[in-house]
Amino acid sequence: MISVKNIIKTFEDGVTVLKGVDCHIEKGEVVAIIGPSGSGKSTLLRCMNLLSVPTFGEVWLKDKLLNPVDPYLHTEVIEASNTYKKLVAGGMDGADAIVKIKKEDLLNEKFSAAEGKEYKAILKKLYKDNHIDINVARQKMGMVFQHFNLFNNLTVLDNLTLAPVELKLKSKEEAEKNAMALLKRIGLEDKANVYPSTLSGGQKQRIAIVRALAMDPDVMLFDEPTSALDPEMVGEVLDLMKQLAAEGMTMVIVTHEMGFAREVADKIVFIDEGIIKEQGTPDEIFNHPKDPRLQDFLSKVL
Amino acid sequence: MKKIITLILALTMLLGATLTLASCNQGGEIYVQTNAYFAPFEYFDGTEIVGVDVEIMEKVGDKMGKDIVWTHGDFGIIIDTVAEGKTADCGAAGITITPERADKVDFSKPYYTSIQYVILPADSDVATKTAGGVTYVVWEALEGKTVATQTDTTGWIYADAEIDCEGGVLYGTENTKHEAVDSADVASESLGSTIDVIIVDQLPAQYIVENSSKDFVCYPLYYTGKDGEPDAAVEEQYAIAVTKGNTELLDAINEVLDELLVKDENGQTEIEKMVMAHMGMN
Amino acid sequence: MDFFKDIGVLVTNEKYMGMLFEGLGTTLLISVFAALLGLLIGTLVAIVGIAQDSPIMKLPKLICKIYVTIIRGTPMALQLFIMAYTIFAIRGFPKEITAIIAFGINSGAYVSENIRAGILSVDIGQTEAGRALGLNGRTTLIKIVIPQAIKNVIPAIGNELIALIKETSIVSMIGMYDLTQAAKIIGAGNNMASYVVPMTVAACFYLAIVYLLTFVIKIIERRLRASDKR
Repeated sequence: MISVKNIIKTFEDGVTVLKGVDCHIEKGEVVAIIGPSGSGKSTLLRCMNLLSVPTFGEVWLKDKLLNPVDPYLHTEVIEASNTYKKLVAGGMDGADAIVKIKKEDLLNEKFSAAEGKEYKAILKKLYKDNHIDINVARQKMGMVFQHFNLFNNLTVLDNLTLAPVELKLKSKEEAEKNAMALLKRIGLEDKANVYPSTLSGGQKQRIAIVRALAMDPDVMLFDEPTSALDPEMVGEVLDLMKQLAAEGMTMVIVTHEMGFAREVADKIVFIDEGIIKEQGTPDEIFNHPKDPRLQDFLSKVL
Repeated sequence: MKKIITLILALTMLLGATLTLASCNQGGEIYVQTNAYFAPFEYFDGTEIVGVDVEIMEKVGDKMGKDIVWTHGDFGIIIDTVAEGKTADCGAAGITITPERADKVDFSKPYYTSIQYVILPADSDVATKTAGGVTYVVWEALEGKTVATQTDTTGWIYADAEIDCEGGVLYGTENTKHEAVDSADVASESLGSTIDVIIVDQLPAQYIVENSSKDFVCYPLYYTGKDGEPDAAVEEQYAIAVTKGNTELLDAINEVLDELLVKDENGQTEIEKMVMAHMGMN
Repeated sequence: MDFFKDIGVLVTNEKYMGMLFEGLGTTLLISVFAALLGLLIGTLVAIVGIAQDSPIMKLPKLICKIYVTIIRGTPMALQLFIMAYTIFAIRGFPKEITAIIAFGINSGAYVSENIRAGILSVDIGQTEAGRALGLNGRTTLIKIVIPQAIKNVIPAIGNELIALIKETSIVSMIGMYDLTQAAKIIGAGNNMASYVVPMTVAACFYLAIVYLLTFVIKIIERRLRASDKR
């Protein structure tokens, strides 16, 4: 469903939070991303729908590329570059040249014509063949935020119908009918016409979840959905997420709720200092951790 | 949001339409720039501008078969706008002929000779002189006084020349100059308290003294004669300023002025009668 | 007291009151349309100002910056003067339009700064939530950010409006018949021959409008706050 390939993310202030992350999420899979704070787990999630734009690497939704082609991931692109040709002409073995270019980041102007016409053409073709508009892709990737981010200027019902109607995915009547059904499902249909400021944190987060569901997404991204909640409200949100998981929704969840991750996730990804240190089934991660950093982390949080 | 934008667009279009109409509406009018705070030559009666200059220009309009459109603004902008000729064909505001102004615009023949007057409170300590049956005040008598003038009028120019410029009669003495927008206003509010004396044209001076509820007097302002010559009045001549090259209008104005300057059996010209009428003195 | 007697004379004089009300009409006409124009210009300039840096936006951004700098850096009276006697020096051109444009352009520069601050004060999470649903930047701005920004900037815009109404009093400089001009004419030698009384009455007119406006702004603010409480 989602593939991220060799994601490197350097912020404007020069801090690199992701240092080459590969991750694959299957359809119907529930993946929990865990790790200490500052490890880059939220950034990884935000890179999946390009709320953060990766500096290097590629993000794929099904067979579609969301961000520009990363030449370092395509041998044929590197082979077409002037840099490669120069190295080979200098007597270097082709395979070695590719390794050297990748390792030392030798493609100076990676998206420009500086590497030659052939390079540019092949890059362009790759992009054209695989690319999908990010706004279209996001329609199929629901996102739930730590701080809910319900639209404060709209009623609950309008929060749910705004995007489907604006994007002409549903008529207003259809969208409202669908929204009411979703609100009923979480038992908040009586809140349809109130503004978000009157709701509790748990109610807000559940509405934020169904707002994402109103788009009929293929995958749901959760960015620490319970971190900003009072403890007594965590349960109602997790229950809703469990229901979704049970229905077969593909989910990627950044979370600190280890119990929940263990119970619901099919796969756990442990990320630390910008790289994936270990991934596996809950049983492998929680009962037989191999990585010393993971062992250390679990000893603190469990 | 959409409604507001639609509203603004609609308004812009309306304004545009007005603009087009306005710019099409040319040729049938004579545009006259003035400053209507100069009674009796031009002043507001309600929202309407009236006065001697208005009557003169109406006659010009009749002669040429055109309507007169009056534009009121700062006195200082009149020569500029007439010289440009974009928004005004001529300026009628009791404008004194000066060589500097004559460089920029054509002047009609002078239609009124005004003497600079000073307005004083009746109990003022400013010394007066009398010679040949005329009581007057010389510049020297104003030393140390706070002098008010209306910005850009002849009185203002004279005061500037005599007080602020090297070689002026009062240059280097302890005078304070006060620039006002409206002489009548200064008279009613400040003369006798913060202002000692107002320098203004003869007719407005007489008019202000006549109409004020307070006790004011006015005298002609004279230069002290040098080397035994007699003292002489500070004189000026009013004319209408016309955009350079607009001879058709200039000729029409001069024709009208010729007619109005014919003396009747009492030795009075039509213009003098108008002046008296507008000062309520007939 | 002569002063109060004179005020009595003025307010009971039908002609003088008619003149003041006619002047008030011009003052309100200029203020209202200049405010709308200012709001439109201000919003556009603010949006250009907060748009992401890109080669296409470079020129508009520069123009907006120069615009705000010049307008905020020069006196309103001189802007009006230049507008009236050079830019719109067209014969028969309605002075009302000149004034509306001059004040609209002036107000726009100040309003743009207010709106820019208002937009920036809206939580970035609101934009992210909109974008994450697949809405484009423009829709997110119009449907989510600006409505919330407006609520934040209403008090500042209200102040700007109040300042605008009072500042229109300088249109008498280009010979327009507004409230201040009416008072001046009433004060002229051939009428009341006193400035103090008509100016005082005109001041009361200004005060009344501003007070009314303050009241209206409060109501609008309260209504926009509906999404905060209820």
